[in-house]
Amino acid sequence: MGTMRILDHTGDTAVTWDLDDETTLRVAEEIFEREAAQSKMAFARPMGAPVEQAERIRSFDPAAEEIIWVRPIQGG
Amino acid sequence: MIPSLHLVEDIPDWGALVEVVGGEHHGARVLLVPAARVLPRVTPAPSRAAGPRHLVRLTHQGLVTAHDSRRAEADRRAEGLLESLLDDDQREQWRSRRRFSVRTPYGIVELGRVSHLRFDDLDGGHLVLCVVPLRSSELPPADIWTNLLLVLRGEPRRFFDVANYCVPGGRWHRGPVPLPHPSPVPPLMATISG
Repeated sequence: MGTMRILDHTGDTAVTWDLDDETTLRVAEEIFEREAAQSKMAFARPMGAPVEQAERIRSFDPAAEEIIWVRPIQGG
Repeated sequence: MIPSLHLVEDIPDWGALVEVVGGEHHGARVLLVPAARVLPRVTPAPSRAAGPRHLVRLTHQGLVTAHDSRRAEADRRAEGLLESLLDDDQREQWRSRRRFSVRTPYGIVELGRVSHLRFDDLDGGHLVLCVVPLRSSELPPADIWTNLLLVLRGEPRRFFDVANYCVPGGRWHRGPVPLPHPSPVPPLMATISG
């Protein structure tokens, strides 16, 4: 079971998938592509692990325990 | 303007919670009209499924709108995510000062104050940076720091490339921030004690 967390006005929206469930995998991969197309950045980490263990990923990793999507940044 | 009543919520067996639009009734803007005084079918009540509903509940502190509740829940969720990413020292700093320090290959950035991120570079220089996520006003505050923390973790160069910066009290400049050579042994992230 993996979880994708997309930062938004609710804090974040969580999307989960199950390695044994093809439908949830497909949906999660589609959402990954959609977020990537918005130039957002994805980081995978073991569930709940500190930032030192977070790694930038550029393609959907079904084995990831937790993926956090953050927005592009700009000068304020 | 003639005051009118806007249905906030119909409460079965109790009546209708209404907002006085364009005025007040004895100083109140939200009233509970008892069920016995609500005339059936005088005006069609909106369907429960139709459109966004503005639920309210009364507490001893006053009126709490559903919007307030949602925002509080968003803040709680964002705080939880941010704290899960911090190490013990950073979490302690965050809880006590609402700021925390992040070590990067170029120096230490302090996150927690919008438009005023202290940056101490490896050469002893000191700048103030301003970087935000796109459409940051949509995000709970803790999400802004989660966003920047992860970018500093994975793409620190990008962070400094887009940051606006100034020396304290000086004029702002567009990025990229002038940087020293990166640390030869980059412990990408670490904390310093506050």
